[in-house]
Amino acid sequence: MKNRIIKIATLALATAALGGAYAENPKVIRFGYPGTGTGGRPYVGGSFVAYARAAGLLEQEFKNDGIKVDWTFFKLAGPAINEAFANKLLDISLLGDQAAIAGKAGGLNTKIILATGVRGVTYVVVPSDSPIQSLQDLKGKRVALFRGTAIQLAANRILEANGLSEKDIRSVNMDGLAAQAALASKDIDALFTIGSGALQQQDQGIGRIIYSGKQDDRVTGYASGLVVDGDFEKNNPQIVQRIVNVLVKAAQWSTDDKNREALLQSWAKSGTSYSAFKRDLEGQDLQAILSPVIDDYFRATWKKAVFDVKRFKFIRNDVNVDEWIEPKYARNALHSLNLENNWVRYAADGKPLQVTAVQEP
Amino acid sequence: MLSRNAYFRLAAMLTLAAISARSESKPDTASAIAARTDTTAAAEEQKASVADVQGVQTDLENYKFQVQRDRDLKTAQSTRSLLVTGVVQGRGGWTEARAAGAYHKHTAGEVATALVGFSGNLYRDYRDARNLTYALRFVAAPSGGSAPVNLLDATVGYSLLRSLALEDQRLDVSFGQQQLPFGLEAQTTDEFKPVITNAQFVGALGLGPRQIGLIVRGDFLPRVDYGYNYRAPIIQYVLGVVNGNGQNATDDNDAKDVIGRLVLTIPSDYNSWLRQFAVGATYYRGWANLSALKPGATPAAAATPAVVSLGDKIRTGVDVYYNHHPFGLNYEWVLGEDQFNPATATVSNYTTGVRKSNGQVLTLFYNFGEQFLRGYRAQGRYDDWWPKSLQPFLRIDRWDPDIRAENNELDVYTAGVNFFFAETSKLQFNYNRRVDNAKGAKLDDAQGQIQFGF
Repeated sequence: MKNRIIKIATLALATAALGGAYAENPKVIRFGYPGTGTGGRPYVGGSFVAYARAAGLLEQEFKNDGIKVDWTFFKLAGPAINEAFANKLLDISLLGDQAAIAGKAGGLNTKIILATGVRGVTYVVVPSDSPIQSLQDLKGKRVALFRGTAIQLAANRILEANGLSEKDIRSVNMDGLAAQAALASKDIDALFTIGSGALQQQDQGIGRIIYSGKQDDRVTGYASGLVVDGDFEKNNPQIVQRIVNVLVKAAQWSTDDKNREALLQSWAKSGTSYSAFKRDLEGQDLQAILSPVIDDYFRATWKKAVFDVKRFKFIRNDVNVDEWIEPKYARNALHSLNLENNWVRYAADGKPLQVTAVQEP
Repeated sequence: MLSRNAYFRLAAMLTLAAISARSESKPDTASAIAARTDTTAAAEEQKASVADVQGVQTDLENYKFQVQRDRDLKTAQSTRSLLVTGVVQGRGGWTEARAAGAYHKHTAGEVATALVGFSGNLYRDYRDARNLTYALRFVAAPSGGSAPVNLLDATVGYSLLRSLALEDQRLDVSFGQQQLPFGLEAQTTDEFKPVITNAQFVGALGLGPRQIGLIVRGDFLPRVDYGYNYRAPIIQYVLGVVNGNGQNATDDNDAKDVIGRLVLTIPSDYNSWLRQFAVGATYYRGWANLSALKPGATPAAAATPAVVSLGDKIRTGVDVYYNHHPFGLNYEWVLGEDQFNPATATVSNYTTGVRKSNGQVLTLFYNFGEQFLRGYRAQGRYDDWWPKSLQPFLRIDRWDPDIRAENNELDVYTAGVNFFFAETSKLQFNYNRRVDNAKGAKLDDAQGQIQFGF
């Protein structure tokens, strides 16, 4: 009898131990994205993840498994994505640096598994007929910035580099759509924004760009990554790997210069014009800014972001970036797709490394 | 919508584009055309022609005409900014008790409440958001048998401090007829109230009706978690002076009632298990007219009541609020102290007594769904999506009308569920067991309600 009990107990333990490995596939992958298209439409541009969504690449990948990909576009961007992660409503998401860091510092069980962007450009836009000409003129003005997102960190870096701080302006917390409307109605004196939206506002005649991060080497551009819920990653490592494989392929297509026009046309369906995307990317190397590779520069960018976010007192706890980033999925994808040398790798100081052999990400 | 300046800019751009297109539309020679590369030809094809530009101009003019005409003829307008809102509650119920004056009547259907409100800014402060606001709400409660429509709220409010950022402390003042800021149960709006009916003490202690007066609300030490843009002030306070005679009535004495409330929220980040854990205390000090019978002018005439003094009306409350999605817990304890004259008191011979009463209510609920997650609700969608949510709850409500008397408590145990199926609408089902300890009677009833708003 005693032996029988031990056998049953052993079998039960073995079953439990193997449970994770043989866990059933999820019926749905809940994919998040910070932001929406113009007017709140569920269509976005500006990243290879946006292209993957537009082309339905993940849906195709999991179609035969009966796994649905459920995309959620969050109007309130990164903070709302953190809320969704905290309440177990999301499995995986693209996320900007500050929101991801603040969520992690607050105890969210997440991992960064793929680079989705570095060297992001921030703009400062003022109403088209505003007398404001420079950042110095922003002192005491009502300036919109989307708190809790990468914009807030970028804004603080830019202000600091120009001898200012957030205390010198009257900062107003507004999401992207609200800020654009406020700029048109002149409810605000200026806004910090990222990506092509600033150029669109200029095209529409409602805004004038007084600062572009493209010309400012003093300020580190914002970064974004693919963030996965820790439990989802633990229970579905093969699913996560397939997601990363698909997205790396999307990155390859998106950063291939011969697809540039098609990529921009795809993004333009978000409501931001083709022209705005095109000019936003002018002078930028797609291979560099949309690289999915987790290289030294990507790590250094996130470490600096953690340092700055804490320095600006947006978080109280520290975040260990080396433990947070899980590079194995990106490494496996690059290896299995034979794309290890498709993107230039950069050293921590941002300078390209010489490619002499296959490098581990 | 584009601003006026933007229209002018767009028109100017279109004009320039038309001039450009005209200048480039000179007839080319056949040889020159043949010499063009495919790339150049493709680029030429993408250029706007005069016809294209004229088409856009026509569309723009049509759009401007339509907007202006709709504004003139089909748009509601007001002098100041205006938000129109409303709530309607349709209710049906069954009770074990047989209704008096009717033949075996146990059921009823009614429109419990119909409310319409108007609110907006009287002055909008673009610089610091120290806005001057107004709110006007009317309510009809057809089942109550009262006047068809009554004024519910009529307030003017002002933000005394800059309120642009999450870190800013708040200090708002409002004047007019408004909800008394007492505890949790009395202040909770219908949108967030899990149970169809209020706890017993709200009505019994007169905390439900609006009061006319001045209320100041503020907070200190706001704690902000930027990871979620979550703001939780550690200290919230309310101070107020009101008539004390209820809504839609002039003051009936010179004594003004005062109220003070303090709420302490445990400082925590959003992801902490201590999120939204708060303890509050409220003190309301009022005075009510006390009457006694005045003899008639003649021995045969009936005595009439006359105000002979002012009696104390004190309400003390303590509450605990823990709303940590997906579950929540609210507990509230209230003590009422009322001086009164016996019904038989006369102006020449009366003794004022004091009645102490006590109410307690505990509500537990659990949310299945995302109705109360602000960030998740705000999604980019093509359709009219809203997260469907289910909220089962339990409430224990005890009312002791006189704490000196033994075994006279009235207990109401309620189990129910709320189904949120659209942005401003919900279905509610409550099953109540009412226990009258004084009579030793138990009575069951059930209510269903659909609440929709706009």
